[in-house]
Amino acid sequence: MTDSTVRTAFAPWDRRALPGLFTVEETARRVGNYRWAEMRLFEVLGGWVATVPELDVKMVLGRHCYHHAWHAELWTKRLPELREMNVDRMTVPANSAFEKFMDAIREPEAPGQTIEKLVGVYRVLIPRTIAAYTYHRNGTSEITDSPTIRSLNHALQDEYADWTEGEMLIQSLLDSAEKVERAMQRQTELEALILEAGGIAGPDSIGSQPANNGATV
Amino acid sequence: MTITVTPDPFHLVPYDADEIRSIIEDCAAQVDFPGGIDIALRIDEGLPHPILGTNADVVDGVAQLFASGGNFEARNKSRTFSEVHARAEIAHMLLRAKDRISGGFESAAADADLSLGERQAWDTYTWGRVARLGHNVHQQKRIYDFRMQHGFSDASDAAFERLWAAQSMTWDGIREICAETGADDRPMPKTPIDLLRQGV
Amino acid sequence: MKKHLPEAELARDTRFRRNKIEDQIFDPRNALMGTRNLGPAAMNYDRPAATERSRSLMHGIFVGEIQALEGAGRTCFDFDETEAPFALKLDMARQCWDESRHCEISVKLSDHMGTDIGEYGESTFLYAAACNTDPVMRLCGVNRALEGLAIDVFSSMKTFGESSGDPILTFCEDWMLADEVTHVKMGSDWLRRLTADDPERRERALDFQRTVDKVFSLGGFRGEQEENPIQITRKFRSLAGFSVEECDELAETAKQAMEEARAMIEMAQAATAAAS
Repeated sequence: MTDSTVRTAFAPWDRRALPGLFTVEETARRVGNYRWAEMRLFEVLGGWVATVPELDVKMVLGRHCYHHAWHAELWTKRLPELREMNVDRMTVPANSAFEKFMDAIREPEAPGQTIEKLVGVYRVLIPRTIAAYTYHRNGTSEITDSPTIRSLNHALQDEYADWTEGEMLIQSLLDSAEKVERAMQRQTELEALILEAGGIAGPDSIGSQPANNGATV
Repeated sequence: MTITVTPDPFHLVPYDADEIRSIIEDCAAQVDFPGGIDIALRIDEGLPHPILGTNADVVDGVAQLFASGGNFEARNKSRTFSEVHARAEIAHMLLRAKDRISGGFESAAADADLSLGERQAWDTYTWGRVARLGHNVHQQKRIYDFRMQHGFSDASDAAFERLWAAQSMTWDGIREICAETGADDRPMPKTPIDLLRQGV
Repeated sequence: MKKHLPEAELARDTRFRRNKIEDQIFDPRNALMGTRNLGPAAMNYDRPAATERSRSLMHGIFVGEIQALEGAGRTCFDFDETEAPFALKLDMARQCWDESRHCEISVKLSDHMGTDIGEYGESTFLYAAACNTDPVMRLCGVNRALEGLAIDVFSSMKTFGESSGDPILTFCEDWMLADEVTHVKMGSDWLRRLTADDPERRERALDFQRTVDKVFSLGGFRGEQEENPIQITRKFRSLAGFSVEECDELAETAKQAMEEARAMIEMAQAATAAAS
């Protein structure tokens, strides 16, 4: 007679693995970088609301502002769980180049610069955020770091939806070759800055490819 | 046909009585207003937008029209005359006055004695005609006005459509619609329906 | 982008037209209006011009929601964390989303009532109250005074929707009212927290709130008497952290504003009579 209550700890379909790419310390560093970026982002989205004349854009920015503030709140709560009781100490840009990049993202103010504002956020910053969050989610330990994974999934769900919505707003605003050129120029300028920073968590935001030593078998 | 506009001149708003007289002439021709009937329009220039109201009675062979100054005022610029609104409102008042003379509304009560439902149904029939004459009439506004007195219901909306599209209508038709929508069942308001016209 | 965007720089599309405050103040019709019998003060379907008045008020609410959205957004941006803690800015970001939703609701409601965007003029005094450089003053002016006014206005609009049988208006106002109670409560909570050790700052902020409250009592627009179209809503204000004494004080402020308005009308009438 078998005891039906004796089962494996992990159900057969639960294939989560223990190994992960990040230590507690490294996770805290990344989360602190995320928090800094999300805070600078929600602040500027809120600030821009009053400066964009397009009513639909105004209302979308108001909505997205809260999404990013809430992501910052997720990271605020996660940091002390990563042995970082001083949340502010870890809330820093990944490097000075990323700080410079965020300053450039937040620079446009004039009512005629809606394209520049949106391109910076939805064509450069948010794709980079999605990339860094996805790398982190896929690379961290599925067991030891599942609270971070849960927060990343929540954040990513917003990021994907906001990215789509922002991109559609941009497409609807690009109604001439001159505006397409403006958008491209803005994106190019910002891509150069984020290239230098390496991403929202620095050069290792999405990992790195091993160097090719040219060896063949 | 004699046309009078009072006040002349205006003191509180920069309206031009001659310009308004000229609009009345245009609109009278457009609605084919009976030639032997004089028209007297009194505008209460002390009433601003959004305190709107018009009346159209025929007394002793004279079309006695009344409008709040707000009816002729630009909605987004205080004390500024809006020709577009003035033309539509004057056409509306003239059509109602004409209805009273020869349009199947000869037995209708004077404006002061209409119920809100009756007045609104008559207005809807009139606004439909004003719109077809090419004036700027906001149909959704008129639907909302109609629902306010006849109810927010499918029956009310169907009645609106009939009135709006009607090429002709009679006072009896208006009464039938008020019975159908239930507007007749509402109590008469405590304040007179032509309160604005009564002035200070 | 600079901190503290002035009222004059609010961005709008070409449909919007801004009212000039001097046009409103020096409108010679004002003196006469106080003498007119325009029917019952409460909004009702049998009141003269009920629909146009409600459309005009609804448009005022709509542009007010835009400005509230802009004001909350600026609070997220204008202050660093030494001036406004993250939790406060998080609340303001949440308010941004709520106000953004209110704009959406207001546009849909305006469609329902037959109003075009920008059809009526816009006054920007709500945003002006959100331009204060002290976050506590800003919270008192916006979240307690203006959002408090919104509680009163939405409550009155909901009653109007119920009495006129308009299910859409009633539904929307009910939801917006719930959010406004939350916003006023945020203001009340943050006022207490930020001034816990600084009673003088609290008093200055409450003084600013009283000033805004008086301005928005608008000579009888709001109060607790039958002649006030917008009624002070004690029940919802108490949910939002207003004490009985604060409600009493507001009622008194509104009463004074009405009496002052009456006195001004009488003075204007006397001046007109003397001139003629």
